[in-house]
Amino acid sequence: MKISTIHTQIVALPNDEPLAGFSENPDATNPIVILRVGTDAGVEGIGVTYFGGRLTGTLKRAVEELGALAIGEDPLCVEAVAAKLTAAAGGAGPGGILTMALSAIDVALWDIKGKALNLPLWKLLGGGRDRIATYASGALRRGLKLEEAVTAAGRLREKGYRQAKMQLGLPGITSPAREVEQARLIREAVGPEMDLMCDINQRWRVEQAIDTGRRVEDAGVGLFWLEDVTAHDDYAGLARVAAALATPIAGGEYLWGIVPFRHMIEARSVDIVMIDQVRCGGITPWLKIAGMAEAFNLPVVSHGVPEIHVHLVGAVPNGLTVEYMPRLFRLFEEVPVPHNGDLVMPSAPGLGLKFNEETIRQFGVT
Amino acid sequence: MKISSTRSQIVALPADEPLADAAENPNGTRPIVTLQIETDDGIVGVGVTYFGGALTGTLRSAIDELGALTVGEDPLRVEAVVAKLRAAAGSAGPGGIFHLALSALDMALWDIRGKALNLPLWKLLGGARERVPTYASGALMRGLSLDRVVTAAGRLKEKGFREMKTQLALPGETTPAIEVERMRRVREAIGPDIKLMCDINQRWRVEQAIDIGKRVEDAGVGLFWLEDVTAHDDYAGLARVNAALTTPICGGELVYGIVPFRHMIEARSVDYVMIDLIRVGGITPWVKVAGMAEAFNLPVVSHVIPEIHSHLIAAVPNGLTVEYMGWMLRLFEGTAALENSELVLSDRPGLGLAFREDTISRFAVAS
Repeated sequence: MKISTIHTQIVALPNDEPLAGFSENPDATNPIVILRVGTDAGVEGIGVTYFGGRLTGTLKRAVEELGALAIGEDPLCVEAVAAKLTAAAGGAGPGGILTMALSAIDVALWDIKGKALNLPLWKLLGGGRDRIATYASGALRRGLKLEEAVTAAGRLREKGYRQAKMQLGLPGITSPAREVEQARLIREAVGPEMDLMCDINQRWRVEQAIDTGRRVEDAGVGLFWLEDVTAHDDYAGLARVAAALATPIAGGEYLWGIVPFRHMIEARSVDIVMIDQVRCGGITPWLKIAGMAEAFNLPVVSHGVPEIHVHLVGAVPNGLTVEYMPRLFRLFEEVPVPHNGDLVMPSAPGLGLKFNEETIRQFGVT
Repeated sequence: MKISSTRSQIVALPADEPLADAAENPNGTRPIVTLQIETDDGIVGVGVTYFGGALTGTLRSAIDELGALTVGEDPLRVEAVVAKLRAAAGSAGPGGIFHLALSALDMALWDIRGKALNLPLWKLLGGARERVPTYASGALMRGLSLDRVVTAAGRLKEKGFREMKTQLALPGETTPAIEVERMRRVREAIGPDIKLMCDINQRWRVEQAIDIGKRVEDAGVGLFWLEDVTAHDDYAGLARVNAALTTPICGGELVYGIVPFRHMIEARSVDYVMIDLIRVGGITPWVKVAGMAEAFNLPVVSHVIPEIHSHLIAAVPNGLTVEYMGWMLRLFEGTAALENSELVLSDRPGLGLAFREDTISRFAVAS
């Protein structure tokens, strides 16, 4: 089998929030680069990449320039294809747009492999379990008014979610007391049984993270994890926070490739390793990091795109939960839907996903 | 003053080797993206970026997309412009093509600043000295046969270079004995007084670096530094090599931004900190890394583009030597003069450089 065609397209999806109905910024769009890789055997694989922001045109260009180099290669030899592309353009990396573009190609090649072998990816990659916990994400963001966030939290509970993520590091004028109050009211709204995560998105300094983190603990909020409490590459600073708090510290979504995870894990910066399949470079490196985390006795969780990550967190023995982030839902004909707080593993081969052509027509950018 | 427009262009320069006429791959080309930032005052700043390889079109696209966001901004407020670009496209970084593109914009803004203040950059940035040592680089590459590398080394000596760099981790079949023999012959060709550096370009494993490094020491070659001996981000592995060898270990050209330098320096991975203007993200972060290195009592050296790095190494107190790499010599007018193995900085404001329009029109690539 040989790769015969590459097709890319930018799709600017609406920034709505389908889980609880409160979008932080309803007029914004999320630009996604979609990829279709064709083969001479007629098997087509799909991939996506994003995080391009105002460089999304550049990201699409990178997928095309790399994709052109993949034509003629055996799509089953993912490591050989990655080696060829990295040799041709490796000076522009590692990390950044090269890695984001490589990830779309890697995902599409795994999709082809799963389809060629007639196996869903989660099973091809290890088949750790046939259902996996998932948590509602994106519905309780820091940009919402407190009343909106509290209402949204109640809706998530009503909808049957058993895990949900909120954010602190509030915009505008804030104080430790306000931060704690936000967490306390959201906990009240979701009730005592819900696993509640909290994302800081690198907005605190180390001493702030320890101070506010302790106050949240003292208020009895009971967080399942506290995420990205300070600059993602301040491994020593993160380790200070992880040592100071009883709340588990999660992090890793901002790291490129596999090596920085080694530094983060060696420094004991986190209790829970979050792996983003776009920034780490695709499914191939995602699995390597999960294996490294397993060796360090650490669970792994995913970041964004549950449609793909469900396979990965479900495949490995140390997969903890899948972030149920609805940004790309309308891009696919069908997406995994939680039942009783879990995602059931897909049964169709490969990723088991099809692009929704109507969405692409409606939101495609030329 | 406001930025009024940005213009970019890909130029594929011939991969010749002007210092000793020792090109490894004479039919190759080096794609460079050039940038000009224009202001409403009529001042034009120039910048370049490279390392795009097969993604050079992508790199140019990044400059154009970021450049469009700078129009209307005050070019003297470099940190504010960078903050705006990071916010707009920051998830595509840090690191990689975003950084490569940012560096071209940053250096063009510094060029504008120097011109607006009528000061050469080396003086604006600190002015530690007006002449800096430089070493011949790119002429003694591992792809040359032993005879060619020995001849080229002799030529560099005849031309008056007092510092020069070669490479080990030879292609094809090699052994520690072959590696050591090559170093011995190069040293023989240049005599005992020339500073000789050796670049491994990450091709050795840690244990290999210690083994061959010790053999080269035992053979009395006397290296001024050994560079990028293993994977650039294996900070602990580099520190093992650094602790095991008396030869100074140099590294840093492959890391993006300022934070990885902290990790590398904290781990005691290197004795000499090599800062690449393009990968670090421009002049603004280059100077920050140099300051951090100074606080750790470490000298800094540059990687490629002596046309701009001469300003930076001359500006800071811990600048050790400038890599004299001939990749872009034909692209610029106004490069610092090479005298007695030193680069002499000029008083021309800003970078003191102008693109050679004949070179650009001859080697321009449509994209």
